[in-house]
Amino acid sequence: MDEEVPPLVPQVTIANYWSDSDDEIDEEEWAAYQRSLMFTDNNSSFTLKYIIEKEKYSGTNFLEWHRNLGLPFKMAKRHYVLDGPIHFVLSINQQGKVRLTRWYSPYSHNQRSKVIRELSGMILARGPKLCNIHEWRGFKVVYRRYASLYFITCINQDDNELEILEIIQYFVETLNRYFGSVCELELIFHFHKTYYILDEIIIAGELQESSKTTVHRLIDAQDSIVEAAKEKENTVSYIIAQVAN
Amino acid sequence: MGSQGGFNQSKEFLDLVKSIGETRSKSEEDRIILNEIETLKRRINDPDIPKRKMKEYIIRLVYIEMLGHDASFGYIHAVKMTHDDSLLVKRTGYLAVTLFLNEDHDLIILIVNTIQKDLKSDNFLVVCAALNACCKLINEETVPAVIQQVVELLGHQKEAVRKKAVMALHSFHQRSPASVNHLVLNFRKKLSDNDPGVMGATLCPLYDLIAVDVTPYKDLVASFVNILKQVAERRLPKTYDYHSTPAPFIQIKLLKILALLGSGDKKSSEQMYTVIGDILRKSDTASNIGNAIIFECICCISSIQPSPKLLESAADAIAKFLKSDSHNLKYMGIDALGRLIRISPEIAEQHQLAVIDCLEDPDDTLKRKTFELLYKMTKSSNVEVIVDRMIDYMISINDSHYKTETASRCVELAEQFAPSNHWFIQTMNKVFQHAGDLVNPKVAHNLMRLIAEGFGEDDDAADSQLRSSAVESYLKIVDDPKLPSVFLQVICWVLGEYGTADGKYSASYISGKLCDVAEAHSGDDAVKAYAVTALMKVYCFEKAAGRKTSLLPECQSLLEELSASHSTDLQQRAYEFQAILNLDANAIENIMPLDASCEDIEIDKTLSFLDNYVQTALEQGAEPYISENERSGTLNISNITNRSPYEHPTHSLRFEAYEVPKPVVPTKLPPADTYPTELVPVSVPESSYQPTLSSGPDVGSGSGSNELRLRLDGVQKKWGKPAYSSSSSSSVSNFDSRTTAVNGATQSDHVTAKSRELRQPAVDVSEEKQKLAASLFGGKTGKPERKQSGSAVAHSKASRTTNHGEDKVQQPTTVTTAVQSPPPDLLDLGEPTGAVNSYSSVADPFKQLEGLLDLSQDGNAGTTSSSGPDLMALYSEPSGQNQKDNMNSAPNPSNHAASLSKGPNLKDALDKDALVRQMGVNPTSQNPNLFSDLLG
Repeated sequence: MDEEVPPLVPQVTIANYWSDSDDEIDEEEWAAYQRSLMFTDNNSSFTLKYIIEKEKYSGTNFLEWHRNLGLPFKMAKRHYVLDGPIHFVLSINQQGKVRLTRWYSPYSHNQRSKVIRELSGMILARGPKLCNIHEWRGFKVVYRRYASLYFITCINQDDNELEILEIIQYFVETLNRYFGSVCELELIFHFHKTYYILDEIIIAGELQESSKTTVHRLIDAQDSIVEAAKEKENTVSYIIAQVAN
Repeated sequence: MGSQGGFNQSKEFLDLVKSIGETRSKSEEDRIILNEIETLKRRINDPDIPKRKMKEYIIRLVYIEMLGHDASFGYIHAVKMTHDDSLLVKRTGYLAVTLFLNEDHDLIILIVNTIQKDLKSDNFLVVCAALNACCKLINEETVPAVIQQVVELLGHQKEAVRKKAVMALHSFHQRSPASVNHLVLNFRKKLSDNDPGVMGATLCPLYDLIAVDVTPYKDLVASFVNILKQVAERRLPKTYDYHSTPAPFIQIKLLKILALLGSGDKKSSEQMYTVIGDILRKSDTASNIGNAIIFECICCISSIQPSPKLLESAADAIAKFLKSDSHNLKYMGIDALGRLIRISPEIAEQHQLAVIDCLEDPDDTLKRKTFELLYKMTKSSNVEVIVDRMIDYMISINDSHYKTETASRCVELAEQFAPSNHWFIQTMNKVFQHAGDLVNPKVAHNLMRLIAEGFGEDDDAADSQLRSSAVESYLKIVDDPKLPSVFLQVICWVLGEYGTADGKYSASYISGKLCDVAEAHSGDDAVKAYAVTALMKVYCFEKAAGRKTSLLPECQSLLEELSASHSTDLQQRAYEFQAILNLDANAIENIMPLDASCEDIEIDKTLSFLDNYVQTALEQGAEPYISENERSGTLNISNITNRSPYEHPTHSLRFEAYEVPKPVVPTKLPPADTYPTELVPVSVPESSYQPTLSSGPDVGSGSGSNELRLRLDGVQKKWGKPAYSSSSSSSVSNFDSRTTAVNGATQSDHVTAKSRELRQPAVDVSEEKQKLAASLFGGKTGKPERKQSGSAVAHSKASRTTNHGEDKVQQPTTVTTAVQSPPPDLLDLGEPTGAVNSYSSVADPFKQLEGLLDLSQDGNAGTTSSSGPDLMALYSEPSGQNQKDNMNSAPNPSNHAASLSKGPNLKDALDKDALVRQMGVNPTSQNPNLFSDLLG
């Protein structure tokens, strides 16, 4: 499946590409974020979010604040399990340009670009023969390279890395079958279609369908509607739209 | 579809994508995108944009978001788009909102209505799109709005809809378990769905449910086993095959579930053995996915009730992983090994060389994983090698996340398995030096306590040697400008307490160093406080010893500076220092007795020495004292609340005791370990002369046949079963006694040589690895010759390096002594050690803790020496009354050992605090939990 793909643009090293980006990741913010990831259960009033927002540490209430904070932490183990196995799927090319991002756990804009920057730096720097796994901030990042493209997923510490590697492969094979012979260009210009396909395979961080045929049948069904719509457009409405423009 | 053939977007968008493709830096890309955002902002608010155009705008917004920019101005348009009738447009809208919005976004409320409508649609594709959006967007508040419809969809005729409905329910369950709990039964039903896709999807929520609580699902074990069997026998449609493996993802999920269900449950586990064995045998080891299944089988085997047969095949599978050329498989092998050694530790033995290979692999991920494995298999016999390696690794990495983790692991292992206190101190020094700011401050207190207490024995010579070696090592590194604050505090304290104790360094030298520290770290009040108190001690000891002392000029200027400090604590210390210096030698000796940090302080809480005074006052008509309780009329408030205003004053005056660490090490060590502690200090002087040897391994290397200390012995034991190990240890000790001299030297050489080799890649790789393996895992019992020859080689190789070591040994006659009394370290034969063994004195931890307060033995003398605090002492009196009994019983060791183990004793802590405040001589810290800390 590792077809040769003509690179879209001349090679630029990753260091150059991200070098002029700004600040480093704030460690504290990260630690807080990672904790918050574990407590997505809004059910109890003792969620981390609640404590951080409602019961701010004011300097005098240290003991109480600390105690409250401890409560959700005790439940951490359970909540950790409840998180879907895949936190996000990224695709970047050799220069560190983003080709696809799908976040299954809540990340803010800032965090997103920080994650991408940090991961692209780390992963693109790794040699070809090393293992496709990188332990990162208490998570595991599993990546796979196809010609100039890297597909990256982030999973929990105790997940099966080989399985995730194969899920990536499965996704790429599906793309390949859909686009004929997939290359970076397809992802660039049809990124929304890539999203549709990804959504048929992984949902809420879980693998939902492991039969390629089923996925294709669904995608084809959706595409047939698109085709039908296009034909319609080509007649009346399209002309009207053109005029209106 | 070719590259741009079927492209349906405008030229404008194509140009955008192209120009992004041509950018050479992120900032260039950012500029283009900012432009694009401006353009879109202008256009998208145009009231009558044709749908098709709008769709393109939304896709452009998705593109902008994908590149990490904020397109929130267009979110509302994406939401509107989901309302559209045309599926084509609606689908784009749904895609955009799932990409844009998190589950807690305000706009979600606007989509719920649309989702509700779409879930009822006749077109299953519309329903699918809506369900997709459900998974991402429906939050706890909106779950009730759609849940009923989603449950109905579980019975939809299209399997795609059923599957997505299951996934949607799963995501609801993750967000708000309470609202879905009554529907859990549906998941069970869906397990028997006709469509394998739906069944596969159902495994996800079931896995989560089982992870939370296993018991309600025990009855499903048979069904899961049955499904797994059918899957493995290729009963599923061919379309689920992946790389000619039948439905691997479903198999993996099922194995995960079985691992949960079988954990600690013999009956369930037994049902699984056959099917797991079959899968393990059948899986294709050539393909990645086959290996993924094998790995999952190993995880499952290590989690359920162990079955010897399965363990064996798991070990074989691991062997294959580790022997593979693929780094991924090696990684998985290490991971699997880590899981399996918990059940059968002996399997690691056969893989020792492979593990060493991974440890030296250039791949950082693999290295980390291997360290994790080593961490899991650390025992007292291999702790030195492992911790040394971990520290080397910790120094080499920059990633603060892993640095912290490695540092805390080093500390944990050192605390748990330290073969000797000396080694512990050296290790802690290294950890502090390289990752000080990342280490828990308690570790520092532990270190201070260890140095102060010595080894809980009365062997003063050994203790003082340990101390002077600590002083020496600290003097060497104290000039390093980058030492972390906690470590500096330890250094200051030790220098103040023991810097001049052995007479090797003059008071002016030590105080010069301390002044340097205070000056170099002028921003750090805690360090300055420690430094000035240490200075005070140094001068007090000098004066008490009757030597003429004069303040160094820099010390004088430091005092002047601190007297005017903004920190009242520092001011107080400076003034006290000056006041105490003016007292006569006798008084000083009482205030600051030499090496009294571990002495017990007896406190006359009744202040009986004032009785006469009170009596006279009363006779002269003074009012009798009314306790504060009575005065304020709050009789029932406990002591704690009464005291609290004084406990945490408004940060103007803080008189807190030295933070004394929890007695972690002694409690965790096995009883046998008190044995080495008596002996090891002997090695101190040597190691201080020979820093290369000081890292630890030499200390324990030759120190006798005691199981915990004898390297060879421990090494042999490492992976063995109990029965086997005992026999091997005895054989080794025989061997040992025959050749003690050679062996001891060899061992330490071997370690030295190795520690060098670690730094500079040696020529003789395989031998080196074997040695490392031997020290980590214990040599293979089957090949004693190899190990012996290896060590012999090490001996000859390193004989020149040991020359100094042997110089110190000097008297060869002592070798015989060593044979008679097994424990001594050969390097330390010059020292009289044999007698120590007979000591059985029990250290009273409470005594020592209290001693650390560094007060004079006679509390009264301290109180009277500064008249001001007397008032406070009176304040604390009423509660003191209640606690008198408590205090009186303090010297009873057993009592207090018990109270220590039970946790902090508040009353004692309060007493101590009051006392300490009277004295006002202790360093401060920011730690509000000081007293819980103090009493562990």
